Amino acid sequence: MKIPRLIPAALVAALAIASTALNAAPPGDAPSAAPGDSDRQCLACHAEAGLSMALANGESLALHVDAGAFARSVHASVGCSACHADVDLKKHPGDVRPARSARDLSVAMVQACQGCHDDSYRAHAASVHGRAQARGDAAAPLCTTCHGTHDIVRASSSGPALREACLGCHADAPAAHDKWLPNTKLHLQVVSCAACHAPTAGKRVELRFYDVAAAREAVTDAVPATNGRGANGAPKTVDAAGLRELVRTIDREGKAGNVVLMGRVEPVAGAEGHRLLAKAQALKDCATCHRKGADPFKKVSLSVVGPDGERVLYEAQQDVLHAPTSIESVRAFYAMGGTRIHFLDVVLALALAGGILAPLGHLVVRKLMRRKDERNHG
Amino acid sequence: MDRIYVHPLPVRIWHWVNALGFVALIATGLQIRYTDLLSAIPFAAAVRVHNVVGFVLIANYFVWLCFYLFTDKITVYHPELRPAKYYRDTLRQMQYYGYGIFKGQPNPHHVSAYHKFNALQSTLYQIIMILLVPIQFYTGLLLWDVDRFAGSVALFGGVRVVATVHVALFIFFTAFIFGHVYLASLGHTAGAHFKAMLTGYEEVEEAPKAADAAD
Repeated sequence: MKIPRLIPAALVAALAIASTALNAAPPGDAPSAAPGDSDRQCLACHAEAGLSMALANGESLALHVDAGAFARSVHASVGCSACHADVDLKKHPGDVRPARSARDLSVAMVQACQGCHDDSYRAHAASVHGRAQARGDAAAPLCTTCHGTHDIVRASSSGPALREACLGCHADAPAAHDKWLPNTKLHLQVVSCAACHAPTAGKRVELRFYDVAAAREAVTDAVPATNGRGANGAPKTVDAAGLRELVRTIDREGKAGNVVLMGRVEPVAGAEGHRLLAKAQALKDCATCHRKGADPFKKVSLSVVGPDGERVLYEAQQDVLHAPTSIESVRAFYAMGGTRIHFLDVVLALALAGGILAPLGHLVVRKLMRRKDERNHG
Repeated sequence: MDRIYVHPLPVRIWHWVNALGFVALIATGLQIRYTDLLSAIPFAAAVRVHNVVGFVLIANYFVWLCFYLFTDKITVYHPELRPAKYYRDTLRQMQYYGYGIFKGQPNPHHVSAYHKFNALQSTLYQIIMILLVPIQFYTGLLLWDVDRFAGSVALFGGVRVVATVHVALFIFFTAFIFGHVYLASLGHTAGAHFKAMLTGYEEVEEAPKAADAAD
C-alpha cells in the first residue's frame, strides 16, 4: 500500500529536516530438534492419535503426543525423561498406575516443573493462583493450565497465547476492564495480563514483525544492524537507525505496507510474571506506562522469527520508541505520553514560546512606535 | 460609529463553543501527553474529558458547516471570487500586520456584513476549517477507539502516525490560539472584536453600504 508508507516517510523526512548493534540474546524458541533414541521409543506409541487411558475417577486421559509440536517445543532438547523420570522403559507400560484424576496428575507434574523452574514455582506459590491451589481450590491453575504440556514454548515467545490462557478462566475480564479502561481491546492486545496483575514484576517492551494481510507474525531472514559498541564488553543493541534500516530491508523484500512492527508490554523475566496478585492489587494507574521514562519502555527487545522458525531476541535501545524515525519503523505501536517522540516536545516548546512572544513583541513594538509617533506630532 | 450585524447567532454559538472546547482539549491534551510533568487531573479523567469534548466539537463543527453551506453567508469567505485580488489582498494584509500597523497606517480591510474577513483571515480560516480541523477530528476519532477503527488506522499508516499527526496539529492550534486572541485585540479598541463576537454587531467608522451592494 503506497499511502500508508508515504505518510510516515513524509513525517520522518519533515522531522529530520527540522532536527546500532546488538547482542543476540539466547534464541527465543528452540528450533525443531530431532528426537533422541529414548524419545523415539516413547513416540513409537505416544505419537499414535487417540491413544488414551481411563483414570480412576472415570476420566479419559489423552496419552497422545504431537511429535511435531514436541519437536518445536522448548523442552524438545531435554527429552521425555526430563519430566517423566518415573517411567522405567523396561517395565513401561505394564507398571503404570493410573492417577485418580487428570487434576491429580497435573498437580504431581508440578514437581517436575519445579525441578528446573524453581524461581517460577516459588513465585507462583506466593501468587493468588498458588494460594488458591494451597487452599485446595480445584479450579486453581497449575503449570500446565496456562503453559500446556508437550507443546510448551518459551513464555516470551508465547505472546498473546498466554492471554488466551488467562481469558480461558477469566472470560469476564474484557467486560470488567471495559468499565474503566479506555481502548480495552487494544490494551488487552498490547499489554500482557501479567504486566499489570503481577505489579512487582519488571516490565519491558517486545517488538515483533506482523504480517497484517496474513494476520500472523511475519517471518524474515533480515538481520538488524548493530551499533558496534560492543568492544568494551557492553552489550550491542539495535538503535533507531538500525531498526529503521531493518524495516526498510523487509519492505524491500516486497512486504511494504503489509509487515509492521508491533509492540507488547511483557514482564522482564518469566518467573516474575508468575507473581500474580488479587485484582484489587493490580496496577490501575495509567501513569505506569503513559508518562515519560515509564519502566516498560526502558527495556526494549526486538524479536525476529527467521525462515527456519527460530526466534532470536535482540536488545534495542530505548530511543527506538522515541526517535523521529519511530514514526516509520514502529508505526503500529504507540503509548500516549510513554513512547512520545521527544523532538515534538521541543517543537511544542518553541511553538508555545513563539505563540506567546510573537504577539507580545508585536504589541511592544506597536506601543513604542505609537509613543514615538505621538512625540513627533505633539 | 455605525453598527453592522456581521456575526449571526449560529456563528457566535459555534465560535464560543469551539473556543471553550479548544481550550479544554489543549489543557487535557497537555495533561495526557505530559502526565510526568502535570498533575492537574488524573490521566484517565483527562482522557474521558478529552473524548467527550472532542465529540461535542465534532457536532459543533457541523453547526458551522451547515450554516455556511445552507445560507448565503458562505460568501464571506470569497466575497469577490477573484483569486488574483484575493492573493494581493492577503499579501497586503500581511504587510499591514508586519509593517503598516507600526507606522499608524489604516487597516486595508473594511468590515461589512458580506466582507467580514480580511483576505489573510479568510485564507487561514479556510485552511483551518476545511483541512486542519477535519484532520484533527478524524485522527482524534481514530485514537478514541483504535481497535474499532483498526482498518482506517492501518490505512493512515499506523497508530503512531495517527498520533503524530494529531500532536503536530495540537501544537499548531496551541500556538495559533495566542495569535488569534492577539489579532482579535487589534480592533478600534482592544475589546471591540470580542464584544462583537458576543453581540453580533461590529462597530465601524462608516457602514460601507455601497461596498456591500457591490459584493
